[in-house]
Amino acid sequence: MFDGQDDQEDDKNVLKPSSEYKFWNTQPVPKSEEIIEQDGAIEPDVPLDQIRQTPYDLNAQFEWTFVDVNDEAQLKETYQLLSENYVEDKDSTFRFDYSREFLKWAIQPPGWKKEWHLGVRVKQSQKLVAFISAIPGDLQVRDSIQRIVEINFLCIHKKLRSKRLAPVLIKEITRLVNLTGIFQAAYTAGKVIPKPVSQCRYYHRSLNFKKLLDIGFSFVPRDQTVASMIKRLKVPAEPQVPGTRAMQAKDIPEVAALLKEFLSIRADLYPVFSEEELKHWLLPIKDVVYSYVVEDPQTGKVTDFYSFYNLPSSVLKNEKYTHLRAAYLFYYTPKGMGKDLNRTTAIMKDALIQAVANNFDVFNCLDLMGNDRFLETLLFGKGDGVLNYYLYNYRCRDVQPSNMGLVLL
Amino acid sequence: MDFDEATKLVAANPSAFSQQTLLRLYALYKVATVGPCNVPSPGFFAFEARAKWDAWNNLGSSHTPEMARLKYAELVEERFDFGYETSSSTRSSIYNNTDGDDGALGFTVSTLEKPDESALVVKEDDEKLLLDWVQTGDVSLLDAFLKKNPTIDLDQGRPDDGVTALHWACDREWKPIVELLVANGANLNVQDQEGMTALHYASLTENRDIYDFLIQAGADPSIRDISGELPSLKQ
Ligand SMILES: CC(C)(COP(=O)(O)OP(=O)(O)OC[C@H]1O[C@@H](n2cnc3c(N)ncnc32)[C@H](O)[C@@H]1OP(=O)(O)O)[C@@H](O)C(=O)NCCC(=O)NCCS
Repeated sequence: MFDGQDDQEDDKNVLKPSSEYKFWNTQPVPKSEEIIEQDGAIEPDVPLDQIRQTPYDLNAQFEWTFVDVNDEAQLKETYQLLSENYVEDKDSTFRFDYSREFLKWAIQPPGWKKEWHLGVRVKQSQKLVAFISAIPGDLQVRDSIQRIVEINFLCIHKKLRSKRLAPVLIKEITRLVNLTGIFQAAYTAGKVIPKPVSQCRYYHRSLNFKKLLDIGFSFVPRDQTVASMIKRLKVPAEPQVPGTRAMQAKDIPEVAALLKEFLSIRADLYPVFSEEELKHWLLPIKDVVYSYVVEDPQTGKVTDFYSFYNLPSSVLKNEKYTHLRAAYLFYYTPKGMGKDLNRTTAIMKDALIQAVANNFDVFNCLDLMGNDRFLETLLFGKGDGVLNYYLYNYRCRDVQPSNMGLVLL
Repeated sequence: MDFDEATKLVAANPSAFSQQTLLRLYALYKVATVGPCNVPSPGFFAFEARAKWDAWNNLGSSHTPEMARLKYAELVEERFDFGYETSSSTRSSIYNNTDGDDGALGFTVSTLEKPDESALVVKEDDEKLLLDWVQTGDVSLLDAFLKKNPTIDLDQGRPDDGVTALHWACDREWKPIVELLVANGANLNVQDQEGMTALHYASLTENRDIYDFLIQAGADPSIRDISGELPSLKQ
């Protein structure tokens, strides 16, 4: 789909001249045309007293709200908004269906703020019709560490699209973040806007091939049998690397050290996690995040770890299935820091096995962090989706996918 | 929101709706509760009554009461929940507009790319062999071919993997083709190069229907493939 002439047909999703982005052209992001030679902030930090103190105006029928996801009713509203209006595939057969537990986890890491769970309600009905979130973090961008927020879950109700509401949401969350002295952000999107710092490709490893075929996620080549695909894709029932077990709180210091080293060796752009943050992101939560370590049976030391999170999609047009259960590769570190490709492949294969054991239908990842080196061996197939990475108010020379170390949910 | 909720909401918040919306709601309400307009037109100077009558009458019999109830609830939901008061936009046009844009917005749930099959040769009809006809998935085309070639060997496997017509039909879960092949005498126990029988195919694709059909037709479930596996289907 994405090679040759089809690329041209897909022109809606290539970078256009900056002047065609009416909103983004006004924002501190690199211009489409810009050739970036040096990393650095685009605009200097603004003193607190010079930051706009009042919320941006909304149309008279709407009002701002801070969504409290620890309140069951508001969590449900947020879940409903997203599950009915969030990201779909290009034929509208699948739509991300982040679970309630997942949302709570994703937007409440250490340092989270209620003001960064920003919603828009219709005044009259109090219906929640739009949402955007920010979470704090530290980001290593080559030699410099930036305090940033990650922006995620931007969503506007389908019936209120194309009314320029997204720019107001983005400006308001930016203001709320600026008020805490943070002026840089990271975000991802399938949409191409000025200007991606990296463009990663999705890859998919079919686990429950029969179901994936039924719902139109996977295909069988015309001259091959389904049976041969199923047999080829079958994985062992038990993890193969000795010493594998679920991650526990006591592993966090070792895991933190492993990940820090791996990211700093492999990546140009990556998160810097505190132990507290890693605890939040990696300790297993059923149906949300799954993490495993390999403990050396002799020394008792943790030598590898891997994790994946659960992001199901609703299946929109199928009689038999309502959901696709998808595991997304999260952070990991193989023994040997990736230099030992056999080991890397072995633990990634175990990740597939764990995913099967937990009833996942498919295992997804991006071609970042050198993942491209094991994808073929482990029978991943190329996806039709591309994920673009962006930095707000930070110029950054292109980062090759293999040097990208940031995984956003 | 259903019709009853919607009528309550309108009664409680009449000022939330424009005059035009209220007229339309009135008309739908009448059709929902009474049916097509069945009362004489009020005099021309009774403006308000006349406007209501017109709205009702204009719906004619285009809506069944059930449709009117649905439309009513839909209209209230849209106007109330979203605070719209743009009279011209109907629900479906709002949807269509934005759906068009969604594609352009790009962030998509990624799925596997369709395999590129442009390199596969498409054979002319007169070059097609048994398996090619099976692969069309069309039972009547296959039937015609079998009638024209009554002596053909049904159990001949593909050179590269030994997959036969029956294996293929089971693999793709095409029961009518399975039945046709069996009726024409296909060998139920023929194995491919992996040692798999039609029953193995039916178990891998988890097709109980075909599996049971093969068993009834006399297929042998005790044949193992080369890795020693028996065909087996979870209940
Ligand atoms: C993304 C979404 C909020 C945009 O809303 P919309 O009503 O289509 O767009 P609006 O008219 O309000 O605003 C359009 C502006 O927002 C920008 N925009 C749209 N999607 C964007 C995104 N994902 N990230 C950043 N900016 C985006 C557009 O580029 C445009 O600005 P421009 O004129 O400079 O190009 C909405 O389409 C939606 O909820 N989609 C489903 C969920 C989704 O894709 N979320 C984004 C995940 S990254």
